[in-house]
Amino acid sequence: MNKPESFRLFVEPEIPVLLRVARSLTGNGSDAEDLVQETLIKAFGALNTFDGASPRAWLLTILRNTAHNVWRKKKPDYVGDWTLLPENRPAFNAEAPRSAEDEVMAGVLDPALAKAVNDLSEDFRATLVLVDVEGFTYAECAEILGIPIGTVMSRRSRAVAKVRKSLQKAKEEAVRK
Amino acid sequence: MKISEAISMPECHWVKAHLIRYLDRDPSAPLSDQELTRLQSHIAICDKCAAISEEYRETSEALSQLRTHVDQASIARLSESLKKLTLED
Ligand SMILES: [Zn+2]
Repeated sequence: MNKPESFRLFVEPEIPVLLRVARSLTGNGSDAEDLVQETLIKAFGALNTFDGASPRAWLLTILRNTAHNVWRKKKPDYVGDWTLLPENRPAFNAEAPRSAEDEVMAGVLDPALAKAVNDLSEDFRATLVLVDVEGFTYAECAEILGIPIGTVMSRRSRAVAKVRKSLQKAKEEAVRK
Repeated sequence: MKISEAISMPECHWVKAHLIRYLDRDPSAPLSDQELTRLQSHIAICDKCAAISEEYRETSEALSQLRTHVDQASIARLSESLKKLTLED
């Protein structure tokens, strides 16, 4: 198999993952697509830097660098923020049927959850979005953010604790009303 | 505070510090069998830690439900341009 062909074969399955990370970074689908497009071009040009170990880790590193170096220049309003895209996401517990009481609680907790996450500092939010929302492993998250796994764990742990506290407060306030 | 609570407080602290790793079961940060037993046996007898564990689990689950679907059309367009990119060469 020639080099371009093998590149395509190991990169193609990673496109959805790249898109999810790009969307977390850019905050919308069309910018995310552009960012991934740019990442693929850069990756193809830098094929000789790939050690054959983990295509995903290698691609995520290129994506992160592309976002930070190229994207920032291209889009002056890009702030490198990690967003949750509230306009696109499904309703809280969308698949499970809800009781009237659950409906009321979901109506309280859904915005409370989004607010709790958005109130976190960017470092904490990025870790939480990647691990909890997007389902990346600690190792993948560490790769994407360029930080040690230990830092991922401690940020994550503190972020979840903060969100838990905010939700608890929202729940208590809802019950009191 | 009950005497039993005062005695178990350092243990509660230890459990809280290891709770996320316990709930996540992430391959890069597994708990040892010994740690696992220590944590599970404390949660079995400490209501406070059991409640925190349940709240962490619920929070994590609520967060995972914020995940959105990746646009299939985006994936198709990128696969197509990847094909072009590698064919041009
Ligand atoms: Zn305890």
